[in-house]
Amino acid sequence: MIIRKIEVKGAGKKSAILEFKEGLNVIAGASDTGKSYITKCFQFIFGAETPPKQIEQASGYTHLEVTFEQHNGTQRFVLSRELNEKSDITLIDIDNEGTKSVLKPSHKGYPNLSEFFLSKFGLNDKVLAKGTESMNHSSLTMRILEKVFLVDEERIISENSPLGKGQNTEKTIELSLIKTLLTGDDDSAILEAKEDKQSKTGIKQKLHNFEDFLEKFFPVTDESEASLQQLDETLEALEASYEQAERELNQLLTSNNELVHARTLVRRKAEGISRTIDDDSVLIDRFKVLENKYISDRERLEAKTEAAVYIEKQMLANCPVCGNDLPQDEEIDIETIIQSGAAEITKINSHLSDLHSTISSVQIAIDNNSSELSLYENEISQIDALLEENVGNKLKENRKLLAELDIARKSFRKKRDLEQKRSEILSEIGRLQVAYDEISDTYTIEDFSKEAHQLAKQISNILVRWDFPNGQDTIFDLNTRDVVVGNKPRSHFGKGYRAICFSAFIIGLMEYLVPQGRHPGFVILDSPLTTYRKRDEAMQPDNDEVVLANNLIYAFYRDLCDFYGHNQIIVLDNQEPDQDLIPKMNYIHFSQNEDIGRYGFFPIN
Amino acid sequence: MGKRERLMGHQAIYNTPIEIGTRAALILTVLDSKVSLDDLVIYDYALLYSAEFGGPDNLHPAIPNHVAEIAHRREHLPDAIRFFIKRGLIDIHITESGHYYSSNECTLDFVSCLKSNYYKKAWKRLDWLSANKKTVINTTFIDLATRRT
Repeated sequence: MIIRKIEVKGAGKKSAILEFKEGLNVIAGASDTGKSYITKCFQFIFGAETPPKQIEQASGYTHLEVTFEQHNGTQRFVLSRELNEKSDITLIDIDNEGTKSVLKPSHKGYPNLSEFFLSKFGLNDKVLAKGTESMNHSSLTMRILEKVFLVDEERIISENSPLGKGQNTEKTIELSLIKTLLTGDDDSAILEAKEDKQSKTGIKQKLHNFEDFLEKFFPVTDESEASLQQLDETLEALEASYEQAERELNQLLTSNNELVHARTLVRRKAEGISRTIDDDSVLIDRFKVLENKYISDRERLEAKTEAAVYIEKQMLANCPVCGNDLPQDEEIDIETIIQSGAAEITKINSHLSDLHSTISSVQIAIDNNSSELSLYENEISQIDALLEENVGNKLKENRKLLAELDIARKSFRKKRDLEQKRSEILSEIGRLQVAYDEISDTYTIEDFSKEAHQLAKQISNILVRWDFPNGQDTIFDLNTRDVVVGNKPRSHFGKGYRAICFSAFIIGLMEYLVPQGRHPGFVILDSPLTTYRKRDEAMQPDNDEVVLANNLIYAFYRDLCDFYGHNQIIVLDNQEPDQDLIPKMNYIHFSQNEDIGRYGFFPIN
Repeated sequence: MGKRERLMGHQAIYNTPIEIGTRAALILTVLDSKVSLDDLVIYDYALLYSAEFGGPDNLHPAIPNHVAEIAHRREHLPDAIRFFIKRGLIDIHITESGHYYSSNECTLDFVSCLKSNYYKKAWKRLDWLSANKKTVINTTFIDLATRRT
C-alpha cells in the first residue's frame, strides 16, 4: 500500500494538497512551514482523537482527506475526516463507484477504522499481552500499529522503545507487539492463561475447604494415628487369638472325652439298674395281687366249711310244688368237705408264706438297686459338674471372645473406611495442589529471539549502509525493546544518533514485515535527521546535541533512494538532501518564501 | 342234668353250690323281696365287686377279665339255688311272669349262724347293696365291661 495524496480542504478555501509516489518522498523545509501539521494530519486520519493543532494558516480548513492505493493503482480508497475531535471517518471506495461508508475512529464501535485497515495486513483480531502478572490483554489496534510506521518528531528522539508511545515504558505490550509482528503469532493464549490463573482462586478455595473438612471430620488424634497397615495387623492378631481359643477348646474337649466316656458307662449301668428296679416293682405288684387272691380264697374256704356245717343240719324239705319227697341225689359228705377244705387252706398258707418270702427278697433287691442307682446318679452329677466347670466355662469364655472379636472387627472396618476416606481426600488434595502449582502465575511471551536476531541483522545492514559507527555490531535488546549498537544502547546516544537509529529500526522492521504481508508498506518519519534546531535554541540549550556527520546524512538519503523503490518512505525534515540526490526522490520543498516555490503546506492567500 | 354232672358242682373247690347258694341266701335275706334269677346274678356280682358300682372295696380281688364270672354265675346259680330250695333255705315262686326266689325264716336262722371273717366282710357290702339296689340293677353289661378291672 502507498499513500497517494493528502488534502486539507475548507469551504471557500484553496485545498492544501501533497501528492506522493512510491519510494522516497522528502518534504524538506524550515520549521513553521506546516511539516508538523502534516504529521499530525496523518495521525488524525489514522484515528487519533484530537485533530492537528489549529495553526494560523489552517483556519477555515475543515476537512482532511488521504488517498491510499493498494496493488499498483488498483483498489484505491479515500479516508475522509472532519477536523473535529472524535469525528467519524468516512471511507470512500473510489473503485466501487465512490460508495461511502462510515468508520469509527477508535477500535470500539463498529464498523471501525482499525478493523478495516488492519484486516488488509492480517493484523486484525490480534491479541497482545498487556501484563505478565495481571495477564491483562489488549487488542492490536490502529493506534498501536501506527507506532511502527509513523514517527513524529518527539518520539523519534525518545529514549524509550520505538515500539511504544515514547513516554511510558510498557514492556510487556511492546514485546508482545514485536513478537506478533515478527512471527505472526499473537498472545491470545493469555486469555486462557488468565482464566486458568483466575481458576486458581477457586482451586485454592477448594483446597482450603478440603483441608478444613479433613481437619473437622477426620481429625488426627493420637489413637487414630493407625495406618491401614497397623489396622490390618491388629485384625490379624485378633483372628490369631480367636483361633488359639478354639484350639484350646478342642483340646479341652478331647481331654474331657475320658470323663464323657466314663459318664456314658455309668449312665448305662444306671439305666440298666433302673429297668431292673422297674421290672421288680411290677413283679411285686403282681405278687401282691396273687397274695390277695390267696387270702380271699382262704376266706372263702373257711366260709364254705362253716356254711356246709349248718346246711348239713338242715333236713331235706319236701318239694314245694307237689309236696313229694325230693329225689335224694345230693348227699354232702360234710367230713370230706371240712377235711379237704382244711387241706386246701394249708396249701394256701404255704403258698402265701412262699409268696411273702419272695416278695420280701424282691423288695430287698429293689432297695439295694435303688441305693446303687442313687450312687450312680451322684457319680453322674459329679462328672457333669466337672464337665461344666471345664467345658461350660470355656464355652462362655469362647463366646465372649467371639463377641469381642466381632466388635473389634466392626470397629476396625469403620476405622479402615475412615482411613481409606482420609487417604482419598488427601490424594485429592494432592491432585488439586499439583493442578494449582501447575498453573502459572505469570504469562510468558514465547521466545522469538531467532526472529529478533534476524531483525537486528536487517537493522544492522541498514546502519552499515548509512555509515553509522559500529553499525555492524547491532543487536536488538529484548529487555529494552530497543537496538544496541556497538554495545551502546540507543538511549545512551545523543539526540541525533538516537533519531537515526530509530529510523533504521522502523525501516528495518518494514523490510522484515512487508514480505510477510504484515506491514502497510509505507513509513512516515518526521525529523529523522534532527540537528540543532535554531528555534529551540533560546529555550533549551541542548548540550548533548550532535551534529551528524555529513556523510551519514548523505548515506541516509542515498540509501533511501536506492533501496526502497517498492515501498514508500515519507520523510519530513529540516535537513535538505544533497542536490544530486533530489532527482532520485519525490522532493517537496517548503521555501518559506512567498515568492519562491511553495511557501509551506498551506497555500498563501 | 345227670348225677355225675350235679356232683361235679360239689367237687369244685371254689364257686361250689354251697358257696354260691350261701351268697344267694344272704342277698335274698337282706333284700327281703322276690328276686329273679338274672337280678340275682347281678346282685351277686355287685356283692363281690362292689367298688365297680361305686360302693365299698371289692370282696373278691379283681383278677383280669373277672366280668366273665357273670356268665359262669348265670350257668351255675340255678343249681346252687335248687340245692338250697331242697333244704328249705330258699323259696321259689313260680308266677305267670317267671320264677322268683325269696328268703324265709330258715334262711334267716341259717345266715345268723355264719360268723366267718368272709361273711362279716360280706355284711358290710350287703348293707350297701340293699341301699343301692336300683343303681345296681340299672347297670348294663357294657358298663361293667368297660369299667376298670
